Amino acid sequence: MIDRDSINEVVVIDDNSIDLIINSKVVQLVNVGKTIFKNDSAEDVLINLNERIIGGLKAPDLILLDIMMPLVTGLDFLDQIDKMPAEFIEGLKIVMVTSSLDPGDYSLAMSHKNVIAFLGKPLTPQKLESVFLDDFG
Amino acid sequence: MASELINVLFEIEKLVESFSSLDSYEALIKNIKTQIERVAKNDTTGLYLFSKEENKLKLFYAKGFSEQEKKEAELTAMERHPGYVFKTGNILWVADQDKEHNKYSIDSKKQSHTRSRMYVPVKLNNLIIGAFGIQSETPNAFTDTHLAVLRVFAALAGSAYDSIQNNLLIKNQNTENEKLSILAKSTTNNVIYTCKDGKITWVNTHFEESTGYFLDEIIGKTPGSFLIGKDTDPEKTHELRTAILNKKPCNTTILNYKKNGEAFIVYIQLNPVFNETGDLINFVAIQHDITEAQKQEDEIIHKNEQLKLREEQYNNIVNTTNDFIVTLDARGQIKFANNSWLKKMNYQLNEVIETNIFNYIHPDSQEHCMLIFNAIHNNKDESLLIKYDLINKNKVKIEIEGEVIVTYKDDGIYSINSYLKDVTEINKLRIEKENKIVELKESKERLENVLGSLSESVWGVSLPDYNLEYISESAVSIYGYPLKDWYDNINLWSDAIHPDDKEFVLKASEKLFDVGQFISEYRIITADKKEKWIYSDTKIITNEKGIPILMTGITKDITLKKTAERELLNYKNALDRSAIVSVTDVKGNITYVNEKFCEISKYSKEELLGENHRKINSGFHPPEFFQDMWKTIIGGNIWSGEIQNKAKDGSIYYVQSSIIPFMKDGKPYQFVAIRYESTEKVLAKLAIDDQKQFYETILNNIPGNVAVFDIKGNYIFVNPNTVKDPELRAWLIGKNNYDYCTYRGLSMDLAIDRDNQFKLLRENGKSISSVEKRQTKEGQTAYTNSNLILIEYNGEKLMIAYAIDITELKNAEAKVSELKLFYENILNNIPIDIAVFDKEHRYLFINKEAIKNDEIRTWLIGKDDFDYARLKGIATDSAQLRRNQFNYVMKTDSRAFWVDEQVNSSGETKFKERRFHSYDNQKFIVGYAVDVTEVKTMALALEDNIVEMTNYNTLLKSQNEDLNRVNMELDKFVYSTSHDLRVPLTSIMGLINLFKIESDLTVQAEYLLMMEKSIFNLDNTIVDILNFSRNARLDVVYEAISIKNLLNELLSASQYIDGKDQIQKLVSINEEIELVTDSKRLRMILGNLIGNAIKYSKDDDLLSFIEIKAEVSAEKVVFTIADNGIGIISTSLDKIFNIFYRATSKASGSGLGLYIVKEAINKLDGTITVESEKNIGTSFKVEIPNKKITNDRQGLN
Repeated sequence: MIDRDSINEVVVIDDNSIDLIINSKVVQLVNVGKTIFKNDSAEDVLINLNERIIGGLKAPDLILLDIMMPLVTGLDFLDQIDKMPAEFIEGLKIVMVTSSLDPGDYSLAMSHKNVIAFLGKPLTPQKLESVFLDDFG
Repeated sequence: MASELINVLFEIEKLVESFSSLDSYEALIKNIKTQIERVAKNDTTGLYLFSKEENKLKLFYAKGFSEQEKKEAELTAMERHPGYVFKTGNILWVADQDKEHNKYSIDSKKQSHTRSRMYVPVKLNNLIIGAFGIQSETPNAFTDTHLAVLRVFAALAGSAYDSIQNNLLIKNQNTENEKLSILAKSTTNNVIYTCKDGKITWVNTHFEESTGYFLDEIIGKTPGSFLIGKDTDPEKTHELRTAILNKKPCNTTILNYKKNGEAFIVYIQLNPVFNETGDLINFVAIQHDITEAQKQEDEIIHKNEQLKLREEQYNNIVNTTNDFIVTLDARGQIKFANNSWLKKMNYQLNEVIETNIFNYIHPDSQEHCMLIFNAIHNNKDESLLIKYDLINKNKVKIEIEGEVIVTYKDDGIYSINSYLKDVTEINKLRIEKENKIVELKESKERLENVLGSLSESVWGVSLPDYNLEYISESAVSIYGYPLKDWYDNINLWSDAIHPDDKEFVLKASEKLFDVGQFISEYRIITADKKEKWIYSDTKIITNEKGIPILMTGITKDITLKKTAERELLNYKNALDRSAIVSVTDVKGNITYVNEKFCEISKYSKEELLGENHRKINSGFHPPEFFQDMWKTIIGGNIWSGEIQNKAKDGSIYYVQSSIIPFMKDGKPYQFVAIRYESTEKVLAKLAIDDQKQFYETILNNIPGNVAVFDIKGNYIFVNPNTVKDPELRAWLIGKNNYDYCTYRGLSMDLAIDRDNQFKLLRENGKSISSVEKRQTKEGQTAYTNSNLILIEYNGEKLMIAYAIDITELKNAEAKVSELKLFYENILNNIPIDIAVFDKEHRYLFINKEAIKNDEIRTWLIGKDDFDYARLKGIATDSAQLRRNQFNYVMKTDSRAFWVDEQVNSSGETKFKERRFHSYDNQKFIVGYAVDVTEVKTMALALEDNIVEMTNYNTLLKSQNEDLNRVNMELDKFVYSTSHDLRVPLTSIMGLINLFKIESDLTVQAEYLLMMEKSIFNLDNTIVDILNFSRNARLDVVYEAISIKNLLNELLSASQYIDGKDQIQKLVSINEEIELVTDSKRLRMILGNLIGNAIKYSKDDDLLSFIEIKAEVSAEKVVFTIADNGIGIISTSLDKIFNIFYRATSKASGSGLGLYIVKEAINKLDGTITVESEKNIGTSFKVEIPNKKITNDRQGLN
């Protein structure tokens, strides 16, 4: 089970500006995290994360990540995350949010250890809520 | 005898164990003598030692020899056993009368005797110095145990001899110096060894001689218990006891009493002896008999007392006499005057002291006295009689007569004593006094002499200057350096220390000043480079203030003790290593075991003592075995034999044992067992037994018949398979075949037949083998393979007959023949040519199909194809071809097949497929030939079709590949397009979800706008997909196009693009020549490019523009669509035309646009290039062929 209270900082990444708004809104509704950053470019987020590493800052607690994005896809993003220092990404949780119907995407994404869930679009409060529920709850 | 021997063994063990407390060679030799006498109770023994002076072996000690025999033995010793042993160093052990005996015995009378002798060499420091022997009138009297004991004796004898020689040497030296000898005799020391609690363990002979007490009677007692008497000072006794209790050294003088009651005074040096680890071992007390010295000292004291008495008398006389006594100095000043004089002169003493005597001399005597006074000065007369007058205070003249005695010192007068007439008594007293002083001096000197003649070297070094003050003569005999060297070189003592011992001695010496005393035993190197052991005791003497003033010491030669100690230890070790010893009482309960016993039995001493000997019984021997043993030893006889025992861990060991009963009053009271381990020997024997059994077991169990005969044909061995009846089998050994036939009532033919075979075998030595066929009782045929061979075993010729039933083998052979026939039949009826070849390609088999003619087929076996060709008179080409194929198969170990053509007798062409297969590692090669004429004909017909088929296949394959690729693309396309279509749809669904729960109207309105946007995107995507489809499906249709119209149309449509209406559009067209191309595709191309340029312009930039150029020539049209938008990063530039590739997240495209552009241009045989820079802008250049000319021509046509 994921402790919702341990999550302060949330980053939502989606190249589709509408989905970005929808996803951020859902995060707000579910009441996860105190700060929510929206970003339409996974590349920009990677740059930001690397700056945090250099600056000795901590990683965000939760990332909502789309897969089908130009330039840096969600899967590219995950590969880059894996190359970061273990202590930096230790507490980072990633929720995939995608409209992809490619079954290969699911297994590829779930093989990354920071990924905790793979949710289909449209993201709804119920779907996101399920991530933070106990297996038995 | 043997039982005594064992006792001796124990005595020696004891002796060895107690050796650390043993210090006397006399005691040692005495002990040996005793032991020898015990050993040789009924036998004779002799110890021969070689005398260099006489160059012969002398009988040093003999037992059981008459005087006459002794003389004879000594006379011939060198030529007999002792001489042999002495010369060779070998041990001689004559168990019985034999050649050796005769050779060395010259005593003809005794030659006929049967006796046992045993001689061992006597060694000293590895030099053979003699031989020690024992002989018994009983044959086979001596055992290993005797040998061990004799060797110990011999070693002890060697040491003892050395000791005696040395003692003789010392004695001889002593006689040379009578004075020394006398002193030595009177002052030789008593040496007492005691154990830790002060009980005597050993005393030296001198002690025994001087006190009258022998070691036997005082051992275990404390010296104080019998040596002290009524006049012994109890304080001294106490002092010694305290020292023992505190483990401290003690030097004191004490009055002791001899056995005969005579008192003697001893100076005792009591020293504790510690081992290296600091544990107390024992005490050594050296008693110096100082009765004589004490007497001298007493005398001195006595004389001193006399002297004192005289002086007192003298003083009394001086002061009580009526005579005048006056003492003067050299100038005549009065130093003393007695009462009589003062009284007469009427003066007080203080009045006359230091006044001149002439003041009191009567004037009449003045001149006379002056003369005398001068005479004293000049003549140095010691004594002279004078007569003169004095005058007293009252002027009364006093006439005196007397003597003047002058004492001189240096060159002058010391004092002048004047006496009265009566000087005789005084003079006498004086002389006496002087004599006494001389005597005192003499007594002191004698005491010193006493000390100097001690057997130890006594020395003293004054401190702190380390000046050697005194060293006694003994140092010379110990070290070999003259006394002068000792005084010259103060370091001589340390230089002489053995290099191996130097370190520890010097280290210990350094501590001397701290502890006050240093006692040790160490080695030295003497002047003549010999190694000696010395005992050294060094003390520091301090004055009353505790400052060291003197270092004194005693040094003693203990080499002999050490040598003997080492020798004995060696023998104790040897004894411990060799024999396993135990002692039991009459019931068999163990009372003693040695280390070796514990080692082999693996029990500890504690576990064994008190236990019955049965504890180690292995249970191997039957009860009768032990019954017999007990019967023997109870009867007082020695039992010997090999016993199997069991150790604590259950392992088995064998010992060669001798059990000796110890008899008292005709009954045994204890048994001593001496054993030697024999496990290995016995195991070896068992191994041989096992092997014999092993081979016999094999022979007895093999199914064939085996019989072994000697060279004459008599049975030595026959196995049970041959003769089942064990009785008959046993009977048969030693008998021959004739006996057997007679016994069994059989015909002699068999015996004769066998005898003939034996004869044959004996003659040529060749093995005979035959197969016999016979009918069994059951009427079946049986075969036996009989063999007869000749072997030589241990130099003896043996014949071995063995027969094996080979019926089954024979039957198997017959079966094989049947099978062969069966298969040959089959092979001959198969419609395939079959031939089998050997390695040389010669026929081994040919079937009927291959060669129909029986005669030729038979003839061909063993021949080859060339032979066949010659026989048939045909060409050898075919034979050579086959040979080549055959060689190929042999060389590569593979198979070969080929088809050849033959024209048969009826003129038909026949095709035959031939094969060569190698079998069983090329042992044989099988050749087949199958008629393939029909197949071949069909194949030729098919061949043409095949080429066609192949071409068709290639086509199919290529088409298949295309299909596969298209399928994959389709798959990918479906995934991507469905995703692209879902994206806006899911967005809308998400917005609807939010919309439902959103109450704020303005937010709801925003959601609606977003939904609209998503729907627009969805529409765009669908248009793209449609275009894609069109491009792929629609045929190219060329028509004349107005670029201007087309661009206008496209640009006006783009005005509706949200937020992009500010963009400047710069268009320049040159279409003087008409453009002919596919209008639909050109619309797709330009529409996409212009749309992109507008979509990817910079947001809210008032300077944004797009520039469109069109240049039509007869050959082509060139479009340039440039913008100053966001640009494309260089890394993405080569991918932008890929399907579904999106280079930026800024727009919500499907990733199909540029792909469609590229595909459409391809359809029109055009090209597209792109230049772009991030944040600067992008420029596409499109070139499309102008189809006007072609079109015109077509039109013309």
